[in-house]
Amino acid sequence: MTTALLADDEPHLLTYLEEQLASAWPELKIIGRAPNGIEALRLIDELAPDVVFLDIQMPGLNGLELARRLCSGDSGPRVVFTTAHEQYALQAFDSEAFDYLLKPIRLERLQRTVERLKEALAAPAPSTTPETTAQLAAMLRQLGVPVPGAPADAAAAPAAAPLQWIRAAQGQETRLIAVDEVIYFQSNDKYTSVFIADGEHLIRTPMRQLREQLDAQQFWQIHRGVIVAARHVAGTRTDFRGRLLVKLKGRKEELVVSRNYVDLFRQM
Amino acid sequence: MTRNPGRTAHPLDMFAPFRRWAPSTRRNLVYTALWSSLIGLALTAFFILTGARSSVPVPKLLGLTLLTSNTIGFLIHGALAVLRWAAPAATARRSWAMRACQVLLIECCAVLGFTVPDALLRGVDPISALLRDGALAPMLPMGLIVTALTMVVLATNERRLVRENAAALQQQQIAEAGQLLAEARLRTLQAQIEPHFLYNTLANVVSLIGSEPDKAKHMLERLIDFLRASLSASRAERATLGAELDLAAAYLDLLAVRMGARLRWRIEADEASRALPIAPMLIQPLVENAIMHGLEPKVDGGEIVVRVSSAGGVLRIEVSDDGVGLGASSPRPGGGVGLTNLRERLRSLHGLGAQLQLLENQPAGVTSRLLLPLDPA
Repeated sequence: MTTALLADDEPHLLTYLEEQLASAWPELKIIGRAPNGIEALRLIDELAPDVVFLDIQMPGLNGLELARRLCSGDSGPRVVFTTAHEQYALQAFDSEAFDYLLKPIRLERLQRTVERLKEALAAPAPSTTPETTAQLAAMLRQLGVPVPGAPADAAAAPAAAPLQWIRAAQGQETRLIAVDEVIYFQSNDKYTSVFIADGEHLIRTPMRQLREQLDAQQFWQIHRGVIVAARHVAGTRTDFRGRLLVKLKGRKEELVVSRNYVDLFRQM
Repeated sequence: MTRNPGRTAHPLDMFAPFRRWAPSTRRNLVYTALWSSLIGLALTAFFILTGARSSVPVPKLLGLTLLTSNTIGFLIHGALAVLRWAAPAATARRSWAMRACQVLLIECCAVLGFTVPDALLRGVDPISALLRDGALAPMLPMGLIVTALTMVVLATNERRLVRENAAALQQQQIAEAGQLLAEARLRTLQAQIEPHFLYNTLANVVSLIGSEPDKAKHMLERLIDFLRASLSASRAERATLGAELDLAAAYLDLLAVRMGARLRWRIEADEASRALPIAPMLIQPLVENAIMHGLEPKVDGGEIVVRVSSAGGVLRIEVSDDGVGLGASSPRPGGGVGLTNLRERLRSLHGLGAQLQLLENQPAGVTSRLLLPLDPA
């Protein structure tokens, strides 16, 4: 008997899929229901179903990541995605080993999927054939999911993800400042001042450490103690002493560029 | 020869380089001296070239012409200033009566300006020179030439000013329209309903129609509330805080049905603050962020609390969740852009009077805090 596992974080949708499957494929035995990706992975490992119906947007582990882990195994189940994400619905999906159902799922559409699944399961071990695995891998890459062993993978992975949020103590509270919001950083003894449009915040991270965590394309060091966000630079001017000054969007003060960093602005 | 048509202009303003010095009384006096002297120089050159006054030595001729032209220039400058001061409304309207006054005054100034220096140089008492029978007659045609010249310059300058004012007004209107358009565009962007949300909600409705029709009906009604509020928010410029909280409530109610036990929520606001005016679609993006980046990625789900309070002229709206927080990189792209849009809107609506702060909660989650000035006129 064919066994199936269903995974969706929305309980009504899970129940409904079960009802629809009961009418479209009465012989199918549903052996597990998972409310999130992690639980789904655990149940698939434990119960080894023939077919899995996966929602894509799930907490813990999303459907695409889950499918990636499954297809890296030897005898994974057939994967059918169920999702409201129309942008993922690519023609490439209509291959023999899996399918892609748009929610709300229509019974006629589900019946077509069931027919194809029945055919695929009758054929000898199709899911381990290299073409199918390659097809799924290609499809996953199209969806932007990193696939293990794919050559693009190693190059795409950065050494360390650049800093996204900065935590700054503000009285009893901790302010979260998006790195995009920062206009410039200024070294301040052991601390660093973070300047945003509506004020200044002091953080404990020293300048040197901060520099390593910032994306060098977007944050330019212009002085030993100053790093400025390129997107907030309005322009430069030279003052009467011949120093190069950076004008900012969103703040009135101008920042001095030290001689060592003047080359940064030569082309501007 | 001199006058100021509007509040500030000067005949020299006809030439673009002279407009670089911002208009002021001092500037206009300097310009009058310059303008009169230029005319004096031109006349002297004319006399020398035509040999009209060949009997007079050149330095004396130059001195006499400069003295005459400056006297006439400053007399007209003063007369027009007095006229402007005495009847500002009529000057601004440029009525025919005002034109007649100007012509008369300039004519008088010109005649005086020709007679008095001449009399002084000849050692004659200027007053008796003026009063002498027939003394003014030869001066009249000269005065008429000066008057005609001055009036032409005056009218040209006035027309230029009117044109410039109209252009400046148009520029200002274009800038204002641009700002309104940008605000409307951002507002519309934020009122946009995510297709993912719509399809998932409808999928839930479809799934409930057979088994739990009452729940399906409730969901559809809440969806209609949500759609109606979102659509009107994209058109309206002002809403009430209560209406905005109702929109958030409809949204959270729908998600509570969809997420089941994974979502709990409440809204804390008193009746008085619900009546306050607020720009639409400022709160909803924060609620959607709390769901999308806070609770949806969290396996166990959690709670969202919307709190409204006001103190010291500041309306404070907080959206708190106990979700996964922002420490990890965003699970979905778009959150950052949403906040950037929101900040841009706050700036164009309230300048620096409004703030959006993000705070980290203990032990988990994020609070978005919106600080808005109360009673914006």
